[in-house]
Amino acid sequence: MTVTVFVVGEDELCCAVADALLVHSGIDINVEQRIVAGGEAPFRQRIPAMNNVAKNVMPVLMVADADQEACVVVQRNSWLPPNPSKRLSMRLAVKEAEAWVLADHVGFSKFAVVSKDLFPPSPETEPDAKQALLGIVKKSKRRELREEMLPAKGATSPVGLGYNIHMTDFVKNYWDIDRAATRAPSLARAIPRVAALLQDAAGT
Amino acid sequence: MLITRLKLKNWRNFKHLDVPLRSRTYVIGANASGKSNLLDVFRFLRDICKPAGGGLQKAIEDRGGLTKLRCLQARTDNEVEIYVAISEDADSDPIWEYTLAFKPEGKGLHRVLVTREVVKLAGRSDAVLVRPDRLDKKDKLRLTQTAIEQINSNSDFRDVADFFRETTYLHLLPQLLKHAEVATRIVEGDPFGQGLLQRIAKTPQKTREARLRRIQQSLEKAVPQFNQLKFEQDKVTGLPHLMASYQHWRTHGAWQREDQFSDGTLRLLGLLWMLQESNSLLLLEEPELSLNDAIVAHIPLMIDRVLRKQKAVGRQVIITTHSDALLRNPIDGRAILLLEPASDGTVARVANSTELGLMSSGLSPAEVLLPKTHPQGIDQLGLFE
Repeated sequence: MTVTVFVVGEDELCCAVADALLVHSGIDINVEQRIVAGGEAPFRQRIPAMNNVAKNVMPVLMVADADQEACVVVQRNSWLPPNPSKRLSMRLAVKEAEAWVLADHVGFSKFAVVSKDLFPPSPETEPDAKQALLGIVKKSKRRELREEMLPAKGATSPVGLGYNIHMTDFVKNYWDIDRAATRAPSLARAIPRVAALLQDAAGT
Repeated sequence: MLITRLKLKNWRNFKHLDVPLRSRTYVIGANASGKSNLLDVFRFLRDICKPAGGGLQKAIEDRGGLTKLRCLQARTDNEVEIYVAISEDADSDPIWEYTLAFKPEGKGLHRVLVTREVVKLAGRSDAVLVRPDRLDKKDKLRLTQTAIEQINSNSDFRDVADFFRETTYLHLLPQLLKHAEVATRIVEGDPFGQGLLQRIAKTPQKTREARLRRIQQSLEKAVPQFNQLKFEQDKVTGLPHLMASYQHWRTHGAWQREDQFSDGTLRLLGLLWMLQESNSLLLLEEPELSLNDAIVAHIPLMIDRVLRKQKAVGRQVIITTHSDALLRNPIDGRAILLLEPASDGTVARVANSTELGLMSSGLSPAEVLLPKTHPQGIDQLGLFE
């Protein structure tokens, strides 16, 4: 049975990660709609409505960055409404979704053509995973990535114009979730929860 | 070469303007805040330098005379002044500086006279050109023309004249391309893209095919079912045509001519062609029109990619836009000009240090700068009686 799901991501990378988590479950899914919230505030604003969708229409998967918060569980509970639907699953990547990406050091080193030794062994403890990732991209042998993912010299933008499309490409085509889960505990916790959400909906 | 600084006095709705420019500059502002007027400065300089039918008088006349050109707020000082600095790249000191000022004679024939024309070149202590000079004082008629428009007088700074002349402006109107009968006359410089097909036809075959191939690659991703683009000369009429094939239930798909393309496909096609056409200043007027937001979001990256393939990354592109989707991109905050209408003409500015700080923390220009261009009281728009 196909399960229809609603996906909300804080940014494009979170959305792509949510998609990958759904595919990884092995259950036949159909994503009804994806919303890229574009920031933490708009993401949080959508929670009540998504809770209603989960209650009345279909299961919802929401993925966001936890940023510098000390404990993701406390944080998630403070974001969720008092009576969250069982069909609403909210996953927060410790610090940033970039940490989950870096956690697949083998996949990313293949994608960016860089040495595996450059990767932090536990990316979730990195103070700034995005900067760590950009530092690795800087050493990439793929010129296209260096030119499009890194900000221009002196620019105020933290990333280059092609950052999102290349990250989405990576998550779609290279990212190995199981391998990443061994280095990212918050991702490892997310995998069974997402699978459970879909199994409940599929009625198995 | 690119323009790194622009100063204006009394130009249309800018009483005073002094802004830096970069290789990609985005101009944002409310309706009627002067985005097109700002681009018009570069078209004006181009019109002055045009080899056929150019010149200062013609450029002013084409704009409806000096009274239309001059800032309404210019009450006491009626001189219009344009200053442009040209550098090798965005962060280096200017190589050339060009200043042009003019005003009405105010008596007699009421001609428009050049009051100042100065050209400076880096490394030279004295200016290359300073007008009015001795000869101008003897013969006032000379002041009706600029030195830059004349081959005999601009030989020491021909580079500047060439640079201005090469400027391209694009505000492609798909309807004019589809319905050639509506407007048979192509405006000089073809600002509305009517002559796009003729431009494509005039390009040598090899170059044309290479460019169309690149356009095809981009369109394949942006336009569903689109799969091939080719150029054809009608065997009977000899008129040039673009043909695109769309995937279809028939095995070979269906070939369509440009008059059947969607407005968005045509605008995107025109944009991609013009990006590849030369290496000089390109002015793009609201490239987001008739395009889906999902495509608009990729315009900045698309521009970079096409220019990189052309080995012309340094080409200067100035873009006016209202688009939230376009400005959600991580665009360099230093490359955005904000136009704010005020009682004394429009004020143009770059982002201040707070706004730059917000953008380096990861907020997009659409969040930080775009709301500042919304007209005041717009929330009441639906409530008028």
